[in-house]
Amino acid sequence: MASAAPPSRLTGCDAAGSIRLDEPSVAAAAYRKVAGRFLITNDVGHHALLSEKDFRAYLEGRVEKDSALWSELQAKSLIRTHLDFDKLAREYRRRYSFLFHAAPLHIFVVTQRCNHKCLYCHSSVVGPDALEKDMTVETARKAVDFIFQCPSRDIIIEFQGGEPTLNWPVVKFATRYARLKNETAKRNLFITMVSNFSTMDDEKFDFILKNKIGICTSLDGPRPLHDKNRIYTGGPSHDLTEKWLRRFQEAATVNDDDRARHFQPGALLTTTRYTLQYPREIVDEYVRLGLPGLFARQLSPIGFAKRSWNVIGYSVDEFMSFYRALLDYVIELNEKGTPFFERAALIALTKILRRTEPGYVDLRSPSGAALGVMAYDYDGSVYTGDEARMLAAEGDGFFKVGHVASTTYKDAIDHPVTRAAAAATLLENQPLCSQCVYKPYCGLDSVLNRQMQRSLWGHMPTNDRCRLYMGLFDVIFEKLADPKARAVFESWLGPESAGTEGA
Amino acid sequence: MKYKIDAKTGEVALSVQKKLYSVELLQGAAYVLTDRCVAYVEAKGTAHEVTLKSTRGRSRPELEALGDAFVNELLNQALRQKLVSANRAIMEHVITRALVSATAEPEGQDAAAEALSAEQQAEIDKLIAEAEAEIATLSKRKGGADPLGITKTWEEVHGKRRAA
Repeated sequence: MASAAPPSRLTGCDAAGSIRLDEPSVAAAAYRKVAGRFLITNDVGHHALLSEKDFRAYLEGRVEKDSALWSELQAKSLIRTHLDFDKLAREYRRRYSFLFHAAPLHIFVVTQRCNHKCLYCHSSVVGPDALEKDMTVETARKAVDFIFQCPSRDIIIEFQGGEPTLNWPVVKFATRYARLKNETAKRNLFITMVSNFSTMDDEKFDFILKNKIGICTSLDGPRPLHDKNRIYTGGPSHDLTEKWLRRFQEAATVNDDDRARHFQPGALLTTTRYTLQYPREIVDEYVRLGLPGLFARQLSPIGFAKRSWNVIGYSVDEFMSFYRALLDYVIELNEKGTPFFERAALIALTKILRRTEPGYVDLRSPSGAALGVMAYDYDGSVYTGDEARMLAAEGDGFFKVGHVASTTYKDAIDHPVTRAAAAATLLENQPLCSQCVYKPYCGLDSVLNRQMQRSLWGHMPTNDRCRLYMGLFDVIFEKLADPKARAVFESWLGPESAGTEGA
Repeated sequence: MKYKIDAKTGEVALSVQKKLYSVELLQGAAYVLTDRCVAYVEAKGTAHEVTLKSTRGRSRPELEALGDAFVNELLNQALRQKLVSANRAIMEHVITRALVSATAEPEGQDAAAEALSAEQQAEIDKLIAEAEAEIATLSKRKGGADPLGITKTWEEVHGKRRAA
């Protein structure tokens, strides 16, 4: 028996051949059939979900003026003869605000050492005794100097690794030095750290609170699942994670708004094959630990994960089944009165319903490579992002754009690789993406394209990341057609600010 | 639009009139389906002769589905490309407006204003000395971050086994 053919990447309209497009009245750029209706979008991110009859009437210029449908389409800048160009320009600037600012996120790999041996580790870490893989004080100083050359008003320094607390003196130095430099630079400086908490102690805890370092850890779900993914020879990783999450949460409950904003800890879920069976249990664990939401991220085949893909990897379809089940459960919890969000959906919804930039550099056009994020390896090498740095650790240094001791920020931005990555990830330059209804919300990753398809541009009809995001946006728009789910989504976003009317 | 199926070779063949469908439309439809077939296009008189060689299934229903998908995508490409070209001028106008208005807002700081005072410079020297001293102390501790040597391999602890 023949298997059913998979749907085309661009789902079309069966009646396309008989539609007589009325160009003067249509201002939508793309369409797609989603859940039995036709989704249309324009380039600033307005969307409408139409029945097939209304879709055809719209394309043929037969929507009656001043009908409810016409008013909706006109308010969303989808009627070409009634466009407010000043409003559209303002909306474009707000939606693509990242185009008007320099890189705000700077990832500091203070060490490649780690005391965990996680099944999926992306970071190509080394053992805890390899002290030669620590960033030196001098390199840290030059990296901070490099960061302050970046003309962005907002600067976020994120300490990563390896496990950053294993090179604690350099974390302390870079924090103090950046704060000191900022006394005169006067930027909006935020410092954060991603830690597995295994070497956390009172001294580090106090320093983190005193210096307002935002903290994030890894939590892969209930204890058996977490400890299966995150192998730690010093004891159960989950116990330490829970202990210090609680300590940081307690610190955040002190009646002081500033404290709460800085110290409310976050946690990241990494999805392996073992995770896929437990969507509800994982959400329940996050709720039990008082976390406000989780981020269901697909595993990328980089680093150890690439080598162990046969054991821990999975297909896009398997991940999407997991994601649907998880999102359904999250919506169910919200409807029963437990506020809790899923961050991948929240990022998409911020773009779709508020048409603002959610500050997520992995889903932009052009991509955030060097333009939104830079990564500084322990040896001072500058990369277009953390995945680019990980690729280098695996032997492919293509995305290195400089060194903190010999390169200026301007040199790194002008580097041919930075420009090539931007050109390759501009969706208008991609034959499939340029016609895709999700173009206003999506973005490419040239590092993954190079890793998986040996090309910065990639090949979207066979690209798994493309399939993943097509699936994710399909799920979101299906849910948006359901008033109950839509109400939950709206509650995550909060009230609309001025200028985001008519989603 | 009719197509012919050859289940033996796994091919779908069709003739597309040049005056109705440009080569760009054919390329667009073929690109969308590159996960399912390899497309060969040959100009012959007033038509493009298209052969789709399936890279998935070769059964008759699968080849019919491929032929239907190609024809449907060809029609959709005609619509998609019209939509994109009709809106290109509008978006270029909007983007130009947005970019021009943004150029009036430089966000960079004056480098001279960021120069450090003598006191700050002294403070930095002190921070460096403190960090270096702390690193030196930690490095002297036996075993570094792994005092029990639990991450060492069998060979590191006991030496390599002699060849028999």
